[in-house]
Amino acid sequence: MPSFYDVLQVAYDRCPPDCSACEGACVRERTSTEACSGITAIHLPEVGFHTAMRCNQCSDPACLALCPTGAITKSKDDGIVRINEVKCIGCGLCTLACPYGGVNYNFDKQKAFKCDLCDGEPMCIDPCPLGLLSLLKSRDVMRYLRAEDAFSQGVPNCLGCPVELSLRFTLKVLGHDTFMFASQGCSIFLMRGASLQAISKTPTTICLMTNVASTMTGVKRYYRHLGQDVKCVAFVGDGATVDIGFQPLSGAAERGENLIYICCDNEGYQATGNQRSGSTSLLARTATTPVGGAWRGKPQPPKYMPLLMAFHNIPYVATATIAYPEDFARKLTKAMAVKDGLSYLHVFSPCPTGWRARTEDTIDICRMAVETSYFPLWEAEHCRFRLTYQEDQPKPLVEFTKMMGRFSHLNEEGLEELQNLVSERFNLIEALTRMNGNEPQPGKTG
Amino acid sequence: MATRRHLIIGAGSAALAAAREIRSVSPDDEIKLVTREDVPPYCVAVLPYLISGRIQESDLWLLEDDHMRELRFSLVRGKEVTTVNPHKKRITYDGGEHESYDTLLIASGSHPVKPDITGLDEVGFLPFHTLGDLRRLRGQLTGKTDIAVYGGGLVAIELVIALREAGYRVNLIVRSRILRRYFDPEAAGIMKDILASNGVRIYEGCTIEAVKENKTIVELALSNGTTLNTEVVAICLGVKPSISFLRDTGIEFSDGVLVDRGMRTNRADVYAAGDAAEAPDFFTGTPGLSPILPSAISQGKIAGRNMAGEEVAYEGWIPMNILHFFGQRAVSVGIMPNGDTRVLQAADEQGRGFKQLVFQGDRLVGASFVNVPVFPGVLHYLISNRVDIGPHAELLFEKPRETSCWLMLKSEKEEAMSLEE
Repeated sequence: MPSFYDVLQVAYDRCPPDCSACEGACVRERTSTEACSGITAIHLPEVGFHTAMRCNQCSDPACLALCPTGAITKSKDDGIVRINEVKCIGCGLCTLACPYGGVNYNFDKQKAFKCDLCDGEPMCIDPCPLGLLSLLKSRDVMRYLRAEDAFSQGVPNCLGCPVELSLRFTLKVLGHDTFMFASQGCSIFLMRGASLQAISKTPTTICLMTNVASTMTGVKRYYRHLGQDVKCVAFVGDGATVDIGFQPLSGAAERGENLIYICCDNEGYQATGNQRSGSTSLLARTATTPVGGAWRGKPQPPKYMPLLMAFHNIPYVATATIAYPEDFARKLTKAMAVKDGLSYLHVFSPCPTGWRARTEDTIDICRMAVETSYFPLWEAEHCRFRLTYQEDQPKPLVEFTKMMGRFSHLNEEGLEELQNLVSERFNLIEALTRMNGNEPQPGKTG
Repeated sequence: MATRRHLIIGAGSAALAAAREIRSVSPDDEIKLVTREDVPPYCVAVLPYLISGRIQESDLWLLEDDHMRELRFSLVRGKEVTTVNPHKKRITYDGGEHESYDTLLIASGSHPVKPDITGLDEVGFLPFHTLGDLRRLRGQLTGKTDIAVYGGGLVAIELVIALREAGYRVNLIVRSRILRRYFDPEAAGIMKDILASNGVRIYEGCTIEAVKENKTIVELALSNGTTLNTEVVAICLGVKPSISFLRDTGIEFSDGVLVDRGMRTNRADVYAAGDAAEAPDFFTGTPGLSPILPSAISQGKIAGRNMAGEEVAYEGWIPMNILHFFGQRAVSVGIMPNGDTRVLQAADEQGRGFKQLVFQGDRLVGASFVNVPVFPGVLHYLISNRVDIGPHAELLFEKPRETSCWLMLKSEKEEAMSLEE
């Protein structure tokens, strides 16, 4: 099984010309013992290229394979690739092996030298004047992925459906002491166990679509009486959230119940045959909003549920998708930390069957939804908004719509209408972000 | 799938790379390495550093016992393989006993070429290829201060450097010129100057005609008519594959064992890699020997993957070497200029630095630098990924470090984009 670990990330090719702050910081940090930097500022003004070369802490390091003395190792604990200075003979083969400019050579000591992430807290990150360096943490995600699966094996959902993956991942992050609440919808197949295929190992109760949040309220309060703090977590669809169960959810939010409510949004009543819901996109073709004659898909825009929840002024609201697992896990962790009210996560979950998309495209669709701003990733703590992913320039919406059949009928006019809706919605979120003085983080999740 | 039995003849770099690769793919398969040497696995590239004292013999071993246990390799030491029977799928040891296999890797390495020199048998042929050779050399050097090294290849130069670092008086006798296969005459000239200024006495363009022992002195009769007195003669004139045990086995070989891009020989389930193999070269695809460490590792990896049941293809070997000596660096990747190539080349005015880029069409096919700051691996990336340099050849030449990084990252990005398509 390939392992992924923390890595020092440099936002691609955006360094200020002639800046070598990171390199200086690395040398400075090590002046007592080293005269060589583990990160190298590279400037090529002729083509406007400015970046910093550093070690990727590869999973299968070429430098390690070629080292003739076994001086280079990759730690199984933190994933850092290190050079044992005692064993290093200074032959330089590692500098010849590394294709990414990640290994330097200390001519004074006649030893190879490379970044060891300062054992987890790289000193080069803060000195960067533009904040382009970051430590990309994937170790936590890996820890989650290796955690015990809350379900037995088996896939009760349609081919390509991300509900199962999202749910398994969610419970791996949430861990023990979790009480799950399900309702009619695609996630119920996994949560209540469909035939012998997949069985939940977590306490789960099946609610009506009308009363998920109120049932949770009762259970949470019951455990509180017993002196136990149990995580009460709903994992239900958009029908039970946006339409049928909206009132109890809104009430629980307003009352400040300490629940985690996760809406897995596949934009329709997909489990019963692709009927439209309050969350179905404008102009999307469904079984009840067909295309043909006077119909051209759903005439109304969707309720923008996460924003509605944010304006309950609850402690935590976020949007997430399994295509960005680090971001997803971070948001679940934040939701878990809330003890004084309701946390709401709105999870984007394409339905290859209902949306008429290729089953192998699911994760790509998730990504494209984020990259086109169809489904922007953001979070709000008591109405303080923050985008957690932003492209310099969102991709045109057609990149998203062309991946699925439910929009295949769109002509230019329809596409423009939908694009306008998406842009306006995104501009609104961005404006809310600015109100808090939070500058967006270009091109990365975080 | 039932566990399989992988037998590897050799315990050098190619053998270990293959064994590790098999283990990473097949956790339960049996892996056995057979070596004619009676020591644990080590890498021959380290041997010069034992002379210079940068590393101790105790740090030489690549696989300590606990590693061996963890990886579950078994090692048969001090045994010679006398023949292979690809039909019965078994090998025979010098003691006559047999050992069967499901897959076999011939990574038996190479042995030094012994030149025809009058009197050599009396004085003793002292090559520098194995730990045994090193120990014999050390023994002969005891109480001596003057040594002659015969040869101009990588091993000879590495040995010369190490001997100088250890304080010996060193004579280097080269038949043509040093590092002829890797560096342009101008670059080699700079390197020769560096060696000379660090006390190496160099005799280029001459051969040793005869050797004669005269008490503690060894007299070398050189082809230029002079006589050189020294105390020890080490001979590093290259290596040839150690594959004599394959005679009459039906396994096809020429100079080395002939293999395809999967490192497969002409016989089912028999593979070869490293110094013993004659694999396709990167630029032309024609088979050839490439007795250098990077080729051994990459060929071993490919062989290991395929032995474990995967299907990976070898891109072919690229000549390369890197030399750190007396605080200076020389590096070369790819091929030397020929009739079809375009060359950009310059030396600095102090006669200390040198750079050369060799292009074929829009592709970089060779690069060598003396004392020019570059990431050698990035240049290797540009060559091995056949990156289109297009109109940026001059820029790459002017600013090799920066431009190579830019082209590499650009290519990586394009690769990532094409995967998304």
